[in-house]
Amino acid sequence: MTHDEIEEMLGVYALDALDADERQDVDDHLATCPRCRAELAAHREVAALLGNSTGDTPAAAPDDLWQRIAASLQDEPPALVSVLRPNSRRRLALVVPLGVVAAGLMLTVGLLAAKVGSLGQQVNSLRHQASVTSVLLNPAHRTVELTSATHPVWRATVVVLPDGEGYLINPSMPALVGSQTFQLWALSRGKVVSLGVLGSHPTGAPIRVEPTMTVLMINEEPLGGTPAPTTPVLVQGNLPVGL
Amino acid sequence: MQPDLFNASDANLAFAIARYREDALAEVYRRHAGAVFGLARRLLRERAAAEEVVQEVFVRLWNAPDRFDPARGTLRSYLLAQAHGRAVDQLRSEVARRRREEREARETAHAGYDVEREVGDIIVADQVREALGGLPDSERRPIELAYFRGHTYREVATILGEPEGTVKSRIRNGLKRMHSQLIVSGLGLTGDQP
Repeated sequence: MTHDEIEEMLGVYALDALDADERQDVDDHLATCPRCRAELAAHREVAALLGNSTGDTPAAAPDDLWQRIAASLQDEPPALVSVLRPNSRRRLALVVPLGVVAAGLMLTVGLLAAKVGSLGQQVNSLRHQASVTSVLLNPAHRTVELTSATHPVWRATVVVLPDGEGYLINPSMPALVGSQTFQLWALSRGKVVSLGVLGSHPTGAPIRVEPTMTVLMINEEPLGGTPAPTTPVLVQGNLPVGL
Repeated sequence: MQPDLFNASDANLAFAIARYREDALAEVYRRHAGAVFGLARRLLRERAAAEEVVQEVFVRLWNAPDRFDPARGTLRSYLLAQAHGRAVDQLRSEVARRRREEREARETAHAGYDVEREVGDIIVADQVREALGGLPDSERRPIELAYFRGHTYREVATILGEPEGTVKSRIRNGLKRMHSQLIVSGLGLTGDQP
């Protein structure tokens, strides 16, 4: 799509009124076009005012809702970086290689090794596409965007059903150098577990999400994958609570 | 809650949340949850569904506070945008769509209900209402149908019987016009013209 075509869509994009396929095109363009980013920011300011003006007096949030939210926070396992230093997760999320975390997880290595590779088979088949379609058609499916804080063009989408059946779709990842592969990980009860290798040119993969998993991450690893992560996360996204 | 949080800026609260201060999240909830709930309720109508959206938005802020960038807008704008996106996703799920269509059919039968009247009932803050009301109908209606009813622009085009390209342009032009108008009314928008 051309710059002009994308530009025409910025208004509807700001109002969440684009279809998913077009949204991706706009996202890709925004990553490289400061002019469109500036226009979108202005549209979003207006949208926020519209959203903030839906009543004469602001609606009060239900009293008991905060209690439920607070309770659900306590049920959360600590975020990945809190294992290391609870007081500065913001910085650590960017700079600490997952390998440091791995050092604390040696006991689980044997278990993890068995899992590695089991999910990373070639999946670009008709059967796979049919399965993805059936998940997308199921109204209970949830979508998780895996994104990068530093490279907006790196991203992947995971769609998942309440029973844990899910698919990684539309990955857009950096080119790998040499014998490397992408590997998918999850944070589960404060530990990093492998969900399988994705290959060097991932097109999609079936995954299984457990209720204990809260974060999905992709990094690059030597061909064949590793039982525990050794390089920084490239993209990550939070799984919805109470999936 | 500690007194320092009561007076903290939203940006500082977001920073405190990144450092696992649950009382900071509670303060953000106290300040903004009403607006977030109001918007979700406006779109979804059902209280339970709106509460679910509020919960998702605040839990996400807790889990990924870095997603909020103070340089790009206020915390309330961010939370409202998150809530809008989630509410719209729910509206577009098949089950919800069916329920909504049934309800709208009922309302149409019983009360001479129509989309135009419904969106016209929106009670908005004076300046925003003025800016919205000052738009030509051809721009105001698609904006209302998209933002407050959660329709995609393609659906808006079908509802209004206009070409899709026309709807896209009118929404974009309407938002630009509102932006200029709201700068004039001094609502604190940035001066960058889209």
